[in-house]
Amino acid sequence: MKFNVFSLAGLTAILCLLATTVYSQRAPMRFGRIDRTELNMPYYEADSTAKAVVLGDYGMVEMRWSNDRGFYYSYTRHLRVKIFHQDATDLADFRIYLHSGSSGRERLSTLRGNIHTPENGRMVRTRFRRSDSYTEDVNDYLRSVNFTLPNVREGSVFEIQYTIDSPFLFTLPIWAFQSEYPTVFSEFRTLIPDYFIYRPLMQGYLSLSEHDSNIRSDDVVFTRYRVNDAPAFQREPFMNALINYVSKIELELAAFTPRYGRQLDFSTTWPQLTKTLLESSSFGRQIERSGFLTEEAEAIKAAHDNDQDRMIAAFELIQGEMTWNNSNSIYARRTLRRAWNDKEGNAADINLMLIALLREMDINADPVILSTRSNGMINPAQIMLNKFNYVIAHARIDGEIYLMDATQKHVPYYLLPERALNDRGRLICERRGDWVNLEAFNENLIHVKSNIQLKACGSVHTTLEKEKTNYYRLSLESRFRTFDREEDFMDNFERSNEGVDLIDFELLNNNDWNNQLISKYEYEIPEIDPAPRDLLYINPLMTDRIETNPFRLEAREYPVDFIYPQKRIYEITIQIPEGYEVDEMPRNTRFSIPRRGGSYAASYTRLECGNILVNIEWEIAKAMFLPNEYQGLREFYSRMVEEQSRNIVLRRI
Amino acid sequence: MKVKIIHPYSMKALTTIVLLFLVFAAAPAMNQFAASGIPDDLLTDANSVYRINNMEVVIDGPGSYTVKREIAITILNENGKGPDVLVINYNSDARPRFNEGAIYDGNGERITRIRRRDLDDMSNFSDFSLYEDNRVLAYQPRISGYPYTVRYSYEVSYSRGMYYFRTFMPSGGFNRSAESASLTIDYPAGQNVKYFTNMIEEAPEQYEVRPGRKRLRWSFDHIPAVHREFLATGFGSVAPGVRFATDRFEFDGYMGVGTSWQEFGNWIWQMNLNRDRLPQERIDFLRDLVKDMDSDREKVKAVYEFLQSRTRYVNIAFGIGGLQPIDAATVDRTGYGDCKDLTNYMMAMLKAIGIESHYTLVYAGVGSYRINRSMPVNQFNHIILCVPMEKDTIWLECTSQSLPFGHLGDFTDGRPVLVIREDGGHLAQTYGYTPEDNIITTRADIVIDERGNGSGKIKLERGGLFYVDYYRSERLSEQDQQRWIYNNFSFPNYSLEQHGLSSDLEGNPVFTIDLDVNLRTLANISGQRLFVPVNALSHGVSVPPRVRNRKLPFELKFPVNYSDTLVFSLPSDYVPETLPTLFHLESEFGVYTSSVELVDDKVVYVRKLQTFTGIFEPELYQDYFRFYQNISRADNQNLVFLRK
Repeated sequence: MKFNVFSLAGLTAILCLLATTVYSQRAPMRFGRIDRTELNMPYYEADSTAKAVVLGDYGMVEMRWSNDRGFYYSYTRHLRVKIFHQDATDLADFRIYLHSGSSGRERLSTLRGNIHTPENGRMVRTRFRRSDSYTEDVNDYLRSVNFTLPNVREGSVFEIQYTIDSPFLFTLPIWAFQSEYPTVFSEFRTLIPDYFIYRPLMQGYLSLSEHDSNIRSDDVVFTRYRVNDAPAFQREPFMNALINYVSKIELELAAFTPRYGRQLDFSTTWPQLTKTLLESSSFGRQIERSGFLTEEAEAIKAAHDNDQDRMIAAFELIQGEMTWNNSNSIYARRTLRRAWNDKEGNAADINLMLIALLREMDINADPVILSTRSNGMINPAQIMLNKFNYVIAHARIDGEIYLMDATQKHVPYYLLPERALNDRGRLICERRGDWVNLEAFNENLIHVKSNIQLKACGSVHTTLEKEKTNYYRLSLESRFRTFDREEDFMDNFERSNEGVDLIDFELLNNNDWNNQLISKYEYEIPEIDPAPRDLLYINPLMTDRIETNPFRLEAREYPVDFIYPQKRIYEITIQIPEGYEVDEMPRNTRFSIPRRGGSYAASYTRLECGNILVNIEWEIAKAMFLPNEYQGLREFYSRMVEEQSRNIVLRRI
Repeated sequence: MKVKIIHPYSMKALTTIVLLFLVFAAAPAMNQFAASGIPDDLLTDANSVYRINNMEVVIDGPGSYTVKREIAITILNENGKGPDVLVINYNSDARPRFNEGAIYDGNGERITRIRRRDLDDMSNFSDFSLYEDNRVLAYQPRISGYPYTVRYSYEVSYSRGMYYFRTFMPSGGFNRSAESASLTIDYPAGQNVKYFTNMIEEAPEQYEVRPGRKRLRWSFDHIPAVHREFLATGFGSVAPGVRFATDRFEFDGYMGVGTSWQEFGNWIWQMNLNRDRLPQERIDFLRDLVKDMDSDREKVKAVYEFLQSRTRYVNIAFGIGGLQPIDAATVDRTGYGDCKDLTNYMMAMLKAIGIESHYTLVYAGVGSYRINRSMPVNQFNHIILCVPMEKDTIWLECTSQSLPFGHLGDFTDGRPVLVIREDGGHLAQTYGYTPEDNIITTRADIVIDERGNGSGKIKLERGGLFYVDYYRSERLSEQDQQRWIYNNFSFPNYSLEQHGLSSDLEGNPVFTIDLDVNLRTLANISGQRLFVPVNALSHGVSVPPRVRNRKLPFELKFPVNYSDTLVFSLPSDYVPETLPTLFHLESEFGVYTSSVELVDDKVVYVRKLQTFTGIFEPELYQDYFRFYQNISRADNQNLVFLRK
C-alpha cells in the first residue's frame, strides 16, 4: 500500500526547519577519494580467498520537503568494490529499481561512477557515463535503470553513487550489511525530523559494530548503524530463505507527530496495529461485508448440522471456487465480493473471504497475519506491519483451534501450505490478539510394510505398501500430478531406483483425504545369472536406504531447517529361499540426537517359520536445529547411513 | 442437389421427421467450444486441445509483415494449463494488437471476456541483461475446474524483415492436439516465400488472391497429441510443421537477399562494415605486443589473451544491437559487449596486426545441431571468430574470459557455421570431438583398514567435450577448489587431504584431478564380513526411465569413454569370500565390461564403458533401457571379505 498522507496543508510551519539540513557528520567515505592501499590491494586480508571485497557500502536516507511533492525521502547509496577474480565482475552489473504508485513515483536524481583499472602497472580511471544506462519499464509499477560499469576486470576498483527520491514514506530502503562477498564496512544513516517516528528492525547473525543516534538543534534526528568486517555470506543445505540469514535493517513508519496538526499513528502497539487493520478498508472492513455469501452460508448450514462440518464445507467451497493468483498480501486487492465474482484473488482476498463466510455462519473466526517462509521470519519484539505479507484464517469451535489457508488446491483444511509454516503469526482480534504457533504440528510419517521374497540366485521379488501422512502425502500427491500418466510415474520410479523392475503400482485414495494414502509397489530385482549361490547378501531397506549424509560440512553457522518434523517406520519381512539359513544378521541398534532431537532404532528377528522380520524406525523430532545442535544431527545421519548399509547374510545349507 | 420427397403416408418417415424436429427444437445448436465436441482420439495424451489454431501472415514488403493469430484452446487438466495459453511476445519492432478473447466453460458457455486491459504487460528478461526490449503480453485464466476453453485473436506487426524463419506447428507442442489449424501466407508477387515442412505430405494450395498478391495455404485437421518422451528428438521433428521465410528482407535500411548463403552473408557483411576502427593507441599497443613473435598462431594467442583479460560479456539485446555489433572503438573504451561486439572487436584487433579473420555465425547450444542448408536465412544465435591459418583454422570464442586459446566448448563444437567474408557467406564446420576424446577416467588406489575406513589416491581425468566443464576450477583459490571438489564429486563420506588440478592442452584437452582422500566407512563391516561397494568410486551411469510404451525415436548425442581402474588393499586378516560377477554387455548403444583380479593382497577392479550415438527407432528403446539397467546391476555389487 503506497500512498502519501503527508501532502497535507498546514505543515509549512515545519518546513523551514527542514530546509536547514546542514549536518556536521562527515560521510564515512567520499566519492572520488580512494585510498592507494585500496587501489593496490592484492587480496583481502581478512578473507584471502575472496573473489571481491566490498570496500565500503554507505547508505543515507534524508527526509525532505518540496512544495510540489510534499514530503519525500532522498536515499543516497555509495558503494565501493575491489575485484580480485573475474568471476566477481558481475558485481559491476546494476539494476536500480524505481517504484511508482498512486502517490507518485521514485526518481533517480543522480548516478555517477568511477572505475579504476590496472593498465601497464598503473591505475587508469574511467568515468561511467550515465548515457550508457538504459531504462526499462518492467511493469506498470516498476521501472529499472540498468547499466554495467566499463573496464571492470581483475584488480579493478569501482565506486558508484546514486540518489533515489521517493515519496513512499512508509518503508525506507532495506539495508543489508552483508553480501556474498566480504564487506569492510557497511553503514546506514538516517536524517529524519523528530516528528516522523520510524521503528528499526535489525535482523541477522551479525551485530552492529557502531550505533549512535542524536537529535540536532533543528529537531532532526541523526541515526547511524554500522557493521565492520562482515564475512561473506554462504549458502548451506536445508536453509530457509536467504533473507532470514543476511544481516539487515529495516525501518517502518510508526507515527507522524507534527507539533501543529493532526497526529497520525501507525501501529506502534499490538492493540493499535490490530485496530488499524480491523478498520482498514482492505482488511477488517472487508470481512464485515459478507452479505454476498449469505446464500452459500445458508446452504452449508442446511447441509451440515455441526460447526466443524460447516467449517470444513466452507473451507472446501472457498478452496474449490477461488483461484489464488500467486500473490501474497495481507490486504484484499479489491472488494471480496468482486474477488468472489471473479473467482480469483490474492491470499488476503481468499482467506478473508473464508473468515467472512465462517462468520456468516456464526463460527468464531479471525485472521492471523504472518510472514511467508520466503519473506523472512517475524521478530516478535518488533511491531512492524510491513513485515507481514500473508493472512490465514483462525477458527475456534468448542475450544478447538483450526488454522486454515484456502489458497492452495488439493490441501486438506487442517494443513497449511509450506509457505505459511514460518514460526509464528499474529491473531488479529480486538479482544484477544496473540501469537499463534505456525510450526507444523501434524505427524509426518512414512510407514512402509514390505515383503521381500529372496530367491536362491539372489533375485528378489518385493511387495511394498507405503502409507504417507500430511506433508509427505502432500508432496507425493503433488508430484504424482505432475505426471501426465500413471505410467510415467512408474517409468520414473525405475529411474530413481536403479536395477528395479516395477511390475505393478497402485495409488490408493489419491486426493481423498478422508482415507489414508497408500502407494503399493510390486517389483523385482532380477539377477542376470540364474544359478543358485552359496551365499546371499541382502539389504532389507532396498529402495528406501539413506545412502549419503546430506550434512557434509563439519560446522554450520546457520540453523538447519527441515520445515516439519518427520518420522519413518519400516516393517520388513524377508522370506528366505528353501535350503538357506541365516549366517549373519546386523545387531539390533538404537541411538538418538541429544535433547530429544530424534532417534533411530533397528531390530532384526528370526521368526519361527525361518523368515526374518526387520523393524526400523527413525525420526527427526523437530523442524529446526540450531548451529550448536548441528554436530549431534550430523553424527546421527552419519550413523544412520552406516547402519542402513548393513547386510543380512544367508548361507546354503 | 437431389431432394428426397417423403411420401406423406409413410408413417416411419413421418416419425423420423417429427423426432428430428423435436431434437433440434429442444436442444439449441451445440456450442462450438463444448469439450464434448472433441473427438476421443484427440484426447489421448493431450493436456490441451487447439480447437482452432490459425496463423495468417501478411507480407507487405521486405521490411514489414503482420502475423495474425486466431486461437481457441481447450485446457483439459492442470498440466495443460501451461504459461503459453495466452502469451504474445513483442518488442519495439513488433507491435502487438490484441483484438479480443473470451473464456468458455466445459459446455462451451461463455464465462467471461478477455480484454486488452486484462493482459499483463511485462518485460521478458531472464538473467542480467543490460537492456533487452523483449516483452510479453500474457494472460493466465483463473478458472478452477476443467475443462475450459480460451479463445482469442491478436496480431503483431513487424517493422523489420523476416530474415530468420518462422515456424508454424498445428499442435504447437507436446501433449496438445489440434482439431483444426491453418497457415496462410499472403505475399506480394515480387517476393518469394521459401518453406520446408515436416510430416506434411500435401503441398499447400497456391493461388493468386488478386493481381499482385499471392497466397500459400495449408489446412490441417485432426492432429493428434504427441506425448513428451525421454530423449526424444525435438518436437519440430516429430510433429507436422511448416518453416518459412521470405527471400528478401530489409532491416533498418539494409536490404538482404536470402537466395543463397553467399547473399545472406553479404548482408551481414554490409551491416558490419566499418565497425572495426580502433584508436591509434590501441593499434600501436597491439603491434608492440606482437612485434617479437614469429608465428601468426602465437600472435593470435597473445591478442586473444589480451581480449580475455580486458573485456567481459554483457548481454545487450535490443534494436539493431540484436544484429549489428557495437563498433570496436566503443568496446575498446568500455571493455564490455555481447558476442557480436566482442567478436568484432577481436577481429579488429587482429586486423590491426595484419591477420585476417572472419566473423562467424553459429547456433550455440549443447548437443549436435543441424541447420537447414536450403534456407539461407538467420538460423543462428551466436557469433564466434574464425581465424584461418596456413594449415588449419583457429576458432575463437570471444565471450569467455577463461576458455583456453583455440578451444570451443560443447556450445559451438562440431556443427555447421556461416563464415562471413567480403565476398559473402560460406558454410563451414567447426571441429568436433571424437568419441575417443571424450574420456571420463577414474584410477584409485585405496587401502582399507580393519574398521572399514579407506585412504589413498584417486586420479580423475576429463577430456574432450567434458574439459570445459572443469578447467575453470584451476583458477579458484585453494579453499574454493576444495569446495568445488566436494560439490562436484560425491565419493562416500570423504575428506580431502590434498588435491591437485591440472590441464593438458596438447592435442585433446584433458583435465586431471588428483586427490588424496580419506573415505570414512568406505567398506561396511557387518559382523564377520566386510563389504566394499565396487561402484563407490567409479563414475556410475544413470538408468533412463523405462518409457513402457515408447512411440518416438530417441537420440543419443554424446559418445563417452568411461574407464575405471580401482585397486583396493584390504586388512591382512580378511580373505575374499565373494567377488562380483563379471559382465560383458554389448549393444547398439555401447559396450560394457568389468573384471576383477586378485593381485597379491590387492583387488583390482576394472570397468570400461563406451557409449555410442545415433537416432534410434522407438522399438529399440527397451533394449536401451535394459542395457543401462544391466550396467547398473553390474555396478551395484559388493566385494565381500570374511575375517579369517
